[in-house]
Formats: sequence, structure tokens, C-alpha cells
Amino acid sequence: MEFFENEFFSRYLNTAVLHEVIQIALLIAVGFLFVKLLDFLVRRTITRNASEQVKAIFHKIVTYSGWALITLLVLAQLGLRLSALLGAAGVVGIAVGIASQKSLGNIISGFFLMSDKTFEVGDVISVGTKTGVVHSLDLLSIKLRTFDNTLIRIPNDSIISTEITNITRFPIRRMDFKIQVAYKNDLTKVKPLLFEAARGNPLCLDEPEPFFLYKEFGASGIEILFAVWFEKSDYVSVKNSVFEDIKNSFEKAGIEIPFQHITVYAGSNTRPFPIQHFEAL
Amino acid sequence: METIVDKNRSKLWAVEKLNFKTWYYRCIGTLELWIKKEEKGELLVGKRRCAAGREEVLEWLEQPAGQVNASDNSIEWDWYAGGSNREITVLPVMPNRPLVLKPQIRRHIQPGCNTQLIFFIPVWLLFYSGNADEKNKLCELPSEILSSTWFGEMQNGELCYALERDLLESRPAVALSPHSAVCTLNIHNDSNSLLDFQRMAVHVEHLSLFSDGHSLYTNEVYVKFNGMEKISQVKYSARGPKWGGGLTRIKGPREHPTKSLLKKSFSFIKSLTDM
Repeated sequence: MEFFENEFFSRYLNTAVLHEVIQIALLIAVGFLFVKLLDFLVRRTITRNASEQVKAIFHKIVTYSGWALITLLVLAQLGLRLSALLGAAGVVGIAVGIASQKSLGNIISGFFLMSDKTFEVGDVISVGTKTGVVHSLDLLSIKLRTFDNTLIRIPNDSIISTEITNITRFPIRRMDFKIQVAYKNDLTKVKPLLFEAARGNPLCLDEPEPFFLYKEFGASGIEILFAVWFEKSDYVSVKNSVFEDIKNSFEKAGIEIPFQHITVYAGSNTRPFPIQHFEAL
Repeated sequence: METIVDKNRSKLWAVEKLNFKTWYYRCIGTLELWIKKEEKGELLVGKRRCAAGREEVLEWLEQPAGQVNASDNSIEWDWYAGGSNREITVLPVMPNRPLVLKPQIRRHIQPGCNTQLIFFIPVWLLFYSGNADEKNKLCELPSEILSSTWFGEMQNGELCYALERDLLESRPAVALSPHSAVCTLNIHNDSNSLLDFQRMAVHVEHLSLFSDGHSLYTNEVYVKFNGMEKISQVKYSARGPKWGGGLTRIKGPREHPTKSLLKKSFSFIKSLTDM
């Protein structure tokens, strides 16, 4: 008993201190429940139909703000003068604010980007010359995973003023093939051949129908635009298989794909530069 | 009218007990299959696509070992580790996406009229090692490759298979393809305008399969057309067609339908070309 009657314990383990500790514990417990409840209500109401990314950001805002408030209340309960603390925090806030103007701009731009809903995590987008899958959409930046598996960080305030192309926003896409056929070929054969190639490829959609257009009389041949529709996830397979299909069907039908020829003349208008073949030694 | 039926059809969906270390072969639709069961339980399955119109082999046919080349690159091989169960079950199942039915002859249905149209759906084949239990499922393969198509708007349509076939007005008199299911479509034009039936999405994932021993049937589909810009009401009956006698259900739907679905079922060429 003597042990508990010494000065230290009578000073720090008395009923008043115990009362204080219980009050603080209650404050933390009630505050924790309140933050959880508020987070739940925000999820159920404000961010109910929002994307996972927006939900995560709102969750962070509610949780961090809630815990900051709880901490202030606990400090007040412990007898610290909040006015002095807030005053100091104000000065620090101004300093931090000046130093982080750019970051603040990024945060605000991040909110605009999210409300704009131009893209979401998992979409394939092109920003300037960079193309990749949106890896994360954070407060300060977005992160793109490129197709050669590198990570690009783009600050939100630069992305908001740049042209963005969302490649996978819609479920189906059109792939354009620019083809040339030689002038000597029968053009009436070309269109059915291309349509047949698309029909025979299970990755090409029947509808919307492939698109065919004679573009112009080119330098080496007649330029044609042929476009097929496909499901967005089949991009690479469609590109490769249709390419092969067109080449094979043209070869079978004797349709020539022209390429640039250079004929060297020896000054005469009619006779080409003479070339002599030699047997290999 | 009596239907001409190939006797081997009844063996198409029968359970087969395989001998160990023996090659078996089948050709259904455009799908060629080879299987072999090893004594330790492994099952080797080979598949290859062949040209349509090839003579079908509806029952498992034993093949001499020398005739099968397991290193043949044109055959796609799968190896399954399993138990000593020697049975293999093949069941028909509906395709895994909706079908867009495009009648070869355009059909027109006047306001207030009902019509019954019949068409055939090429089924997929579902393979089980042992009995038809979900945990024994090996793979599912289409008996016929159908081309893909898009149905609906560019932003929110759905990916489907295209089925360009002629529709029949009455029960077919000739033997049906053993791997095609007869689907009966009952359309009622409840609108005030002529229904120009150019294409229709049939949600085959809601259809069950029934058999009378030699042919396959799906449950009947009832569509109430309410107008060009309105969504149609679709109902799926619980049973096969009324005219199919002695039907037993051999496979349930991929997805159970709600009692009555409101879906955009009809599409008109104009809506696709106006992109």
C-alpha cells in the first residue's frame, strides 16, 4: 500500500486524472464512430454513383478531417490553448500555402478532372504524345502505365489544359486501313475482296458494316480507305489479322499493292539506264 | 409429318465411358475433337476447326493410335489433370452472347397481328469429365463459329453473334442439324405501325434446351412489339414448343430470366447507318 501512497502515484493516478483519461477515451471512441458514420453517409449519398477513385478521395477527406478534429478536441481536453495552436497553425498554413501553390492547383485540377469524367482508372488514354492505361487518378497527378510497362506521372494542372483522347471509352472502335492498288487493276474486284476478308475474320463486326472509300488518285496507285469495326479489346489481333487477310486476298486475286519505283535514266527520254547482271563469283 | 432422323443423334449427348490410352474422335459442326484418357487420370483434348459441310461423326469413334499425331500443329491441345473417372459427358448449351437474328427475307407484321417464326440456333458443346456437375466442367466450344455484330447504339449497345438465317413459319419437315436447337419466336405487333422485321436481338442466355431424343428445342420466346422507338416486352416460356412432344429439359439457361423483360429487341437499319 505504501507503494501506491507515494507522491508520484498520488499526483498522476488520482480520480481526477482517471476521470480525464476516461473522458478522452470516450471522446476518441465517439469521434471514431462519428467519422465512420459520416464516411458511410457520404458513400451512400454524395458519392453513391461516383467512380471508385472519387469515392476513395472523399473517404480520405472525411477520414483525415475527422481525425484532425478529434485530435484538436483531445488537445483541448488536455488543457492546451487551441487559440495559440491555431494561430501557429495559421502561420504555418500560410507558409505551406505559398510554398505549395502548384500543388494546390493540382488538387483543384484533380477535382475538375474527376467531375469531368473524361476517363477513369483502366481506360486507355492519349495525352499529348503519351499513351497508356490510367493506373491511378490521385489528388496531385494521374499515373499512366504505358504498353511497354513504364509509369508516367502527369500533374493534374497540366493535363487539364491538354487535349486528351480516351481510346477505350466506347465499347467498339473503327480501325482504318489505308490501302493502295495499282492503276492497272480492275477496281470493281477490290471492294468485294476487302468485304470478304472482313467477313471471314471473326474479330471484325458484321455491323456496323465495314467502310470503303476511294480516296484519291495517288502518285503510285489509287488510294483506298477501308475501315472495320471491332470490340475495343481486340485492337492488336484485329490489326494483325486483317492486315494479313488483305495481303493474302490481294495476292490470290492478283491485285497489286504498288510501291514507289525509282527508274534511273541515262539522259535519254526513252531508254532506261542499262543494267548488266553478273554471275556471283 | 414424320421427321427423317439419323440414329446416331441419340448418342450425341450420351455419357461415354472411355477406355484408357485409346484415342476417340468426333466431328460436330465445324469442330473436330480428339480425346484420350490416361490411366493416371490425365485427359488430353485436341480440337481443330474444319470446313462447314464435312461429314459429321456424332458418336465417339475409336481411332488407332497411329492415326492421331499429338504434335500436329493444326490441332490445339489441352491437358487436364483429373481423377480416374473414365466417363465423359457432352451437353449442349446456348451461345455465351445474345444473337442478332437477321432474316434473309424481310418480314413485315401488321399492327395487331401475331406471328410465329422458327429458326435454328447452333449450340455450344459443354464437356464434363464424369457426370454433368459444375465442378466436373472441362470446357465449352461452339459447334459453329458465328460472326460478331453490334446491336444497339454505339455508346451503350451490346456485342452479339450474328445469325443470318431464313425463318420458317411452321415446324420443319426435314431432319434438323443435330447441333442446332429449334427456337420458336412468337411476335405480337402491339403498335399502330407496320413492324418491319430487319433484325432482332434474342437473349439466348435466358433459354433452356430440351430434347425429344433426336432434336434440340429451346423454350418459346414471346415478344410484344410496342413501336419503333419503344422497348419491346419479352417473355420466355418455361417449356419447349407446344408441338414438340415428349420433351425433356437437358440444360438450363446460362442466366435465369425475370418473368417479363423489357428490352430493346428490334433494330432498324436506319438507326445504325445514321451514326
